[in-house]
Amino acid sequence: MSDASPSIQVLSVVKRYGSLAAVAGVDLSIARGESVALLGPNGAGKTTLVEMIEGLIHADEGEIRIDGLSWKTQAGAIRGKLGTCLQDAKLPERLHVEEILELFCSFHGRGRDRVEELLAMVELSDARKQMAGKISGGQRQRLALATAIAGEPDILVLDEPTTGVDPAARRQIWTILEGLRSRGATLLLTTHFMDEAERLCDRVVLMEAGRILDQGTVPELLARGQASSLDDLFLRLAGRRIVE
Amino acid sequence: MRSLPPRARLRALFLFTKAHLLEFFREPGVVFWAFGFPLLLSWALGLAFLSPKPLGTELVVSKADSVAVRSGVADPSVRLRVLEGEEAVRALRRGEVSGRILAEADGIRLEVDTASQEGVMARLLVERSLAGDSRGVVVSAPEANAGNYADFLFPGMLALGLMNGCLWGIGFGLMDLRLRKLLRLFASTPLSRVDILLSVVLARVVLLPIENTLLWGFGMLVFGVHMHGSPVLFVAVAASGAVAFSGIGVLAACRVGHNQAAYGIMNALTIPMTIVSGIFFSWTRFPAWLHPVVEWLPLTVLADLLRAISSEGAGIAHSLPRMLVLLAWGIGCAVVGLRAFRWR
Repeated sequence: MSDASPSIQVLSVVKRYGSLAAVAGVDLSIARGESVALLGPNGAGKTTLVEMIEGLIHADEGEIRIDGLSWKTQAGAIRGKLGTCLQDAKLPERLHVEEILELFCSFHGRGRDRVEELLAMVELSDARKQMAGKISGGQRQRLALATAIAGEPDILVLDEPTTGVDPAARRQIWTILEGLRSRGATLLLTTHFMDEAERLCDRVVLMEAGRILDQGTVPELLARGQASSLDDLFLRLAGRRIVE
Repeated sequence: MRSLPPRARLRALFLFTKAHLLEFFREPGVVFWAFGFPLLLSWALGLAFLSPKPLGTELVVSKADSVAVRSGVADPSVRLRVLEGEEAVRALRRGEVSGRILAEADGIRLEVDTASQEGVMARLLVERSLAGDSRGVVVSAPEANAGNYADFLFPGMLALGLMNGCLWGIGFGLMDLRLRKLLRLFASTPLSRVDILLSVVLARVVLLPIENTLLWGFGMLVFGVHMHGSPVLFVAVAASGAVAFSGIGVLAACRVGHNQAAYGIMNALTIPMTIVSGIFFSWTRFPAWLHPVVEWLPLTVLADLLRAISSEGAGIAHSLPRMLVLLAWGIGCAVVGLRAFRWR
């Protein structure tokens, strides 16, 4: 694919569950190396959209292209380019940290050297022999991130990557993600932390009721929404939904 | 946290309790496993143990001996099944009758396994029936390889082990991966979905021969279980059974997304078959109207076939059609399960 094609292209995508349209006609384009945060209250359709981008569920209408490739015809090629970090995924609890990394590296055809790189990158070298079920929440989240980047993906989709970890662990994860950004990876993340979106992302996409409400840089959104912060904007969005 | 005033606390408790109940009743699967399944299971057990058939014992007798035996043993609780030669031996091996009764010049000979509850019951009933008869009863062990309970039990136990190994190992294993969101995580990697499933099956393929060799070896060493047929055919049949239950496991796991439903569906599959498929006693003891269903259940087919090979020396001509039935169960269920399989 040419370098001109966007990393992620969402074209008029609709996903329905019964009579409910979880995603109701979304168009989104994320350029190579761009970092985008998907924000919105619970039930806005973020996770459904992310699951479609990850190829876990299919759109009822529209199309999603990853690096110019279609999920319908080139799923195998896409999976090699895409790294995913799922919300609340419980890694095999009775495997050692390094065994899990070895397993995920093997999915990408990578060997021990990559395991060592990953252990160093996510600062889990000292915990390599510990079982995944025994490590702290912050370590577990870094391990999950390491599994997502095991294959050195061009595109990284992260569903609430810092939910449930303490502020110190969150900052550690931010540092890792900033490192990946600086190497040219495309990031799409969903988050409830406005500071995370502001720090890590070039652009923020606001979703509500299965649709994109607005998108742009943080200053652009604040100006348009006449809000003093992303928190303020988010609360207005969530509040309006509750009133409705 | 500040404690709530008593009235508010009671209200919170009420609403929280109500919320749990609403969650419960809004999940039809959970409701079924909680209420429907125990009823069905009780019904099946009732059929087996509380059937209107008179209690007592059933013994096989030859036509030549039947008149003499009937004249001596008039107790209706001792039922006689007139069978000759191989048919009689087969009924004994399959546990359809409790033993054999013969009329001899000096009295009645009863061939039962007195180490089994059924053998003891048969002996007591026959002795009671002949209480006034001066000739008495001679009790002996069954002929070698005829009616030995271990020969009946161990092929059944092996079939049961294959069922549990595949259903829990593959079916529940896949459900557990989905419930822990690992299936979804693995599916998002370049590893093919076929390989993900295959890895679960292969793990079981490694374990099953070990489990079953241990069980069969134990039976041979401790209880003198016999192998009259071809060991190669026996293994091939066991493999067909593993295919059947692997396919059923994939079908069972294809859509389950709830912890309680996962346990419920596994129990619903394994417990009824364990009871009705003739593992511990012959399935022919269930009412005749149930036989057409029971005899084609995969556990019944597998247990009967393993038993036929090990106890009766059944060959390929007898085994092949039943192996095809097992393969049809496995492949059919796997195809349906894979088409409906949910990765998230």
